[in-house]
Amino acid sequence: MQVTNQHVRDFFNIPNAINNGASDPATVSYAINWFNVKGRRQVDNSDLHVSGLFLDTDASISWSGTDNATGFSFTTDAAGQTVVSAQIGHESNGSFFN
Amino acid sequence: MHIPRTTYQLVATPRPSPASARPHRGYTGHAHFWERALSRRQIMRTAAFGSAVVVGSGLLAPGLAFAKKGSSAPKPIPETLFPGAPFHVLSPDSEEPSTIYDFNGFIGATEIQGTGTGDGTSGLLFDVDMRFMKGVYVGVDGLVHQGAFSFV
Repeated sequence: MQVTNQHVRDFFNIPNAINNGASDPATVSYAINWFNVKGRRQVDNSDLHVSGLFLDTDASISWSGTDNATGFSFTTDAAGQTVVSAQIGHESNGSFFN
Repeated sequence: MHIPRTTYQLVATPRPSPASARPHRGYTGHAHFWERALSRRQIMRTAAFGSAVVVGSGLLAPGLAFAKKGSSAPKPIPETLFPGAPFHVLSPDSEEPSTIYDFNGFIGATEIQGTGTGDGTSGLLFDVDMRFMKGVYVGVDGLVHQGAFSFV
């Protein structure tokens, strides 16, 4: 997944974002790679109305962003990343759930 | 309402273009995946719209927050992070990683932690939850659409 110069809003912190507070225009670019399949899961959840096949994997991200109002910029380090969770697959939910 | 496969198969055939035409190479996924492959421009435009809707106000309820009647915007999943919460999202490692509903397609989700540099200061921490959804979906307008969205 790769996106370049995506326009987003910088809300500075989570509580401010949740409350839709003040924000600055920002521009971000990122690339995420899912790799190294570690497992496969077939999902058929009638409570959530979702079915699918998912691969549990590793992942890495390269991210850079700039607050267009203040000029603050941030770039991730490639090394030392910890993957809390990563999955990729195909799903059908709602009206498409069988 | 259950949408039969024949309905969205007929609707979701994109206009072919050089940017989207590609030969079958290796694993092709769903039998009709390449019929629905979007050009890079379409993905960027659609992803930018989708992400802006998700990240903006009405956080995590994009279809309801911004959609006008007749809009092709997607609907959020009905589940919320916890009972009563206004955030229509579940954990990225849950059995429902999508943030949009009435959706059929490919999805990727990940939570990654690490460090980075901001304005010359190194060692700053980051913790991101990033996802993409690409496929067909029923919009707020009740019609089947094709699109790609990112959750940033």
